[in-house]
Amino acid sequence: MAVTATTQGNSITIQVSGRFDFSSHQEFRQIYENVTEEVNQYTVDMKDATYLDSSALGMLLLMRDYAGGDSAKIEIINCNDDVKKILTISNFGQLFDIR
Amino acid sequence: MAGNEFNSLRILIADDNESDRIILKGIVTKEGHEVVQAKDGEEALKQYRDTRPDLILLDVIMPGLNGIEVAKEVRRTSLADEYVPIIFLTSLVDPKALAECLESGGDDFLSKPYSRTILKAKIKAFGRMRNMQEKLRDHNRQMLIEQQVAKTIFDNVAHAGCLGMSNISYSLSPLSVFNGDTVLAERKPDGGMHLFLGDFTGHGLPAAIGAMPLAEIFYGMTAKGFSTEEVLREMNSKLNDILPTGVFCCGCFIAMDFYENIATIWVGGLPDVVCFRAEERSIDILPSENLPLGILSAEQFSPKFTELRMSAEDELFVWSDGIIEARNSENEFFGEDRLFECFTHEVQGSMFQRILNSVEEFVGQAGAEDDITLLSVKMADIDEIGLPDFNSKRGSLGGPLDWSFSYTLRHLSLKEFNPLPVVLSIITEVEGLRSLSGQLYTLIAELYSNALEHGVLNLSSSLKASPEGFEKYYLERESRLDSMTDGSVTIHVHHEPLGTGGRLTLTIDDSGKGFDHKKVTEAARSDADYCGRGIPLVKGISKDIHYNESGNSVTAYLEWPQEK
Amino acid sequence: MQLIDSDFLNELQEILEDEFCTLIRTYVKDTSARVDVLKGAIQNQDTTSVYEVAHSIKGASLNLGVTVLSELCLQVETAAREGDLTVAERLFDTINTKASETCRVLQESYLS
Repeated sequence: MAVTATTQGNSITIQVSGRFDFSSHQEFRQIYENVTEEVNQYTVDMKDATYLDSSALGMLLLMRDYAGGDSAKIEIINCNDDVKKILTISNFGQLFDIR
Repeated sequence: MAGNEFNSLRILIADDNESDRIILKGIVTKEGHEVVQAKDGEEALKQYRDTRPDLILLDVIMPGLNGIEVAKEVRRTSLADEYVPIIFLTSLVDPKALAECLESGGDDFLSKPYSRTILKAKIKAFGRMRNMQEKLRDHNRQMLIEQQVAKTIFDNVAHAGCLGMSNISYSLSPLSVFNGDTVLAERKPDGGMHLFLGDFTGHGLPAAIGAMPLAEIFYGMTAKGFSTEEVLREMNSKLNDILPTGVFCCGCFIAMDFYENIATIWVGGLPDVVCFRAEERSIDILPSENLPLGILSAEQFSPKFTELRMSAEDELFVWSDGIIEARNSENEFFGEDRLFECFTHEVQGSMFQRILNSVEEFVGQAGAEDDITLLSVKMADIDEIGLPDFNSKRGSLGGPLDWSFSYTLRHLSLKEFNPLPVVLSIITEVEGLRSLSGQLYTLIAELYSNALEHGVLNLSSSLKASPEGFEKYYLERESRLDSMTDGSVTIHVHHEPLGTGGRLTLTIDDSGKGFDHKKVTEAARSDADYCGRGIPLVKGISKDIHYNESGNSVTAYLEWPQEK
Repeated sequence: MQLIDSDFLNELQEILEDEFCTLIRTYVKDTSARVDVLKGAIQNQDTTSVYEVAHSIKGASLNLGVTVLSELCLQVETAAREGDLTVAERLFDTINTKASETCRVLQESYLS
């Protein structure tokens, strides 16, 4: 499990690889809590994420809160079928832009 | 010992060489520790058992049982949460022999000649470790006690409800509250039933803490007659208030109506719910359509329910992801495909048991279902299920006996407020009426909805004669409620003592222009499935019932104690 | 090389106080007895016994700072562990002499 981030202007892309679970809590939090002020567009790239559990869903909610709650602009992209299924069951499509 | 920097330890010195023992004893005693001695392996084990030392200094080569064997025996027989450090005394230099000492359960070496400074430092270091270990053990014991207490409290709050009823099956680990799973079921006063299966994110106490208010709201509001959506909304609001962001509860809420044979189902974040059609041997799949509980604020929460008409013996199955993620020895998941496949086979006995068996077979060990949370509920007819029996949970029969009140709801309140819970709650202050609360609820609910729908909203029940009309009736009801600009319903309740019991008089007036109650009452008896159950039902419950001449005021009487 | 390390023994005496005399008496008694056992074991060609008793003399001697004797016994112990008794046979007389001398010096220095 690894989390990396690239910032470009007002948008940040966070790449998650491997299992996205509680073990990446610290790493993930540090990234979104340390974004520069102009960042208002978040993308979580799940291209290399193999799995995601309910604590990862919790982390996404924490990030959403941090990024402004209902006004947060967060998209989750490149989900594999397993990841997409978990996001769908939880109906996270109501809170995030899932592609 | 607490608060004192220096800890005096009891130290066992096991060495066959007397001069070595004298030296070690001298050093150890000088440092203020208590010494227990053994001159061979057997004596070392005996002293270990009898004196329970804090630290063992153990010679490797001794006649009889050698140090390695002693260390293995100490580790084998010590309690799970007790750890005594072992320092091997040795002049061995062979790395293999030294490694064998550590593998047998040793923690360190002391080589000859013994240095006072080094021995002192080692005893201090292991004393520290022993202290930490003791603290850890005490914390752990404390935690287990606290968990036990927490579980008892939880079990009291989330008592079994009506989970024991014959149409319900469930599997839940006894400590499931600490892995975040909860199953709740309770009868509604109107004869229906609410069920809830919840799966909190996280483990341990945080998950258990969230489950408690959830259970309390579920039981309290269900028994008081709040509607399915009201109960669910309150559960969501409460969790949204108390849970930190990132912690939530996936769940499935089911309301069973045994009169109409309809199940109303809400799924938020749990795997697909299955309705097994007993006759057709087919399944309907109900996917999660909602966010889990505790994420959305009260204003944002708009639950989507699915209504399902079920025949008797049709069965709903709900599970948390534990069953899907049960693994076999090859580390494969049981998975949804295998789960759904269970429904395609002929079964002897119950489908519920068939699923458990199939998981057990897959995992390949008995007791595999211990970690599985699974709930099923069968549709049944109200005659078979019976009305709920809400026994008085207080002590002696009491409460106010001589009182009355009137409660008028004007049009703004009529639009969205449900007065039944509050009215029922006042009435059931009379202890003798508490066991009748199911019937009372039905009585008030029927008369109130007649007053509102046929009186204030002037809807005709003949609309409900066909399935299409049934739906049209409720759409019409919605739109008339929305556009209503005046109107009211008044509930008068009067209670007086009578003999050893009492008599309740319930009058409901509405602002409508009334109706020909005689015609409706008679027509109702011949009606089909969709309407007209109301008045005969009420007549069965109350001692007497009558309408005023214009038909916009109805009075029902009920006396207690009732003959069973 | 000196038979005994006086600085080392003096420090031990400080720690053990009255028990120090017991230590010297015990060491002298045990060592003499063990040298006899070693002799018998060599005669019986009992490798295990040679290994064990050499190990005991070595250990006890190390702890009293009796370096010469412990070095000699270490050689015997090491060879005996490999099943070789020739070293024991070759060194026994030296061990016997050094042990007697050591015991005498210890008694004269600390027990009189």
